[in-house]
Amino acid sequence: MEQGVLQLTLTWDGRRIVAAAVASTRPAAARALRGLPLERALEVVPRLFGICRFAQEAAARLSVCAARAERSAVAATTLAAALAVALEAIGEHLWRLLLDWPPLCGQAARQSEFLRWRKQLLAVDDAAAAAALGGRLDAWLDAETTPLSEQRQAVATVLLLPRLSAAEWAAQLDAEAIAGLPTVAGQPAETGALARHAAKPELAALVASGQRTQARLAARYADLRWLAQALAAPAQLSAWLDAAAVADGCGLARVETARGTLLHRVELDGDRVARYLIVAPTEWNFHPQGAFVRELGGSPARTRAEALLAARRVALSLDPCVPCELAVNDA
Amino acid sequence: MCLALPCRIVELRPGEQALIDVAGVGKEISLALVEDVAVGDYVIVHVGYALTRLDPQEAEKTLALFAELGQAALQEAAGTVA
Repeated sequence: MEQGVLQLTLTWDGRRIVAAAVASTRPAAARALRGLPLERALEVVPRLFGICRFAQEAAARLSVCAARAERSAVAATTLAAALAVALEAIGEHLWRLLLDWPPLCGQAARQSEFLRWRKQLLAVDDAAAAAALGGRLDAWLDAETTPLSEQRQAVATVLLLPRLSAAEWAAQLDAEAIAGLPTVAGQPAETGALARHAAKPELAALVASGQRTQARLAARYADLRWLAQALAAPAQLSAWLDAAAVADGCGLARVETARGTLLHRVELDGDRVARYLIVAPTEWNFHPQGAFVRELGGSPARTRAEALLAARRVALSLDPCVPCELAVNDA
Repeated sequence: MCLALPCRIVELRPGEQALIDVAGVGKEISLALVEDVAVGDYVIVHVGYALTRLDPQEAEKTLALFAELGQAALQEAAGTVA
């Protein structure tokens, strides 16, 4: 078993998936920051993370500013980081929609289209270029229709994570207990684009009818639309990041990412990191009693291949930030 | 969380594929998202795709960092390359 990989196991009885289970290793990265001088920790964080590095870097800087009660630095960091965080989220959504979803819906991956967008995203170097890209993305979205992932209805699932501010998270978050197994009010919850846009009537209707996978797919388009329009009005983007002091020398930052809410919490010991906690979206969505496990348990599947495809779709809709290994065991 | 372990390109293969070295283990990945990659270059890889090419100095710094953070971080990072 490799570390840093989600092990997803289905139990299948020939007619249905009778149970699903998740095993993952607790991320070592945050632990590795303990004891580092602050400046070093801030240099290390963006180097550690591959795909969400701008969000991770922003969360690290914001949590440290909040821990030092530097309010004006929180505001300046939010402003400086928001655009990079938004562009990163757009790139992640396009990756999923153009490269990963089509093969699970019986279509070819749209690699050349993805490459064109990726080049444009990487070329953005100022607010005017960002606004122009937002306009092109907005127009492109007009011509896109959400593919039909499946019409299966989930029998049971979890709450959608409410949108909480950093100050609210600061009051909720139990530093050690929550790492790896986060809950709100004692319940596992789902984070991501659907949780962000659940109030939209068309998404609420899909959720109400139990079509969570389809709702998540549609929510990605809604999130992209919001991001495309926010690129032209960057003040809106600051809604995606904030930070609050938890106590003297302890700060918490919340940064939204394509996959959901990312939280960093730092406790300082002078100019060193005493404790560092990262709660990543994958820890909500692949909680051992979370959405993946609940939604697949009881799903009909006539063949092993059907069981695997159903699990791949649910897993992709919940969007793990590490590779998954899927296995099917006979009941 | 996906950790950004620099991986060295060992061999270029047909169809925009390459063999990389992930902490001593060989893996085949796609080069479709990066341009002008040569044997010996370091790349950041995510779920089977090379995402970015690193300049060798940057890659060395990051590798040194993972070494400093210890075996657990290195194993975790290697797992996310798959």
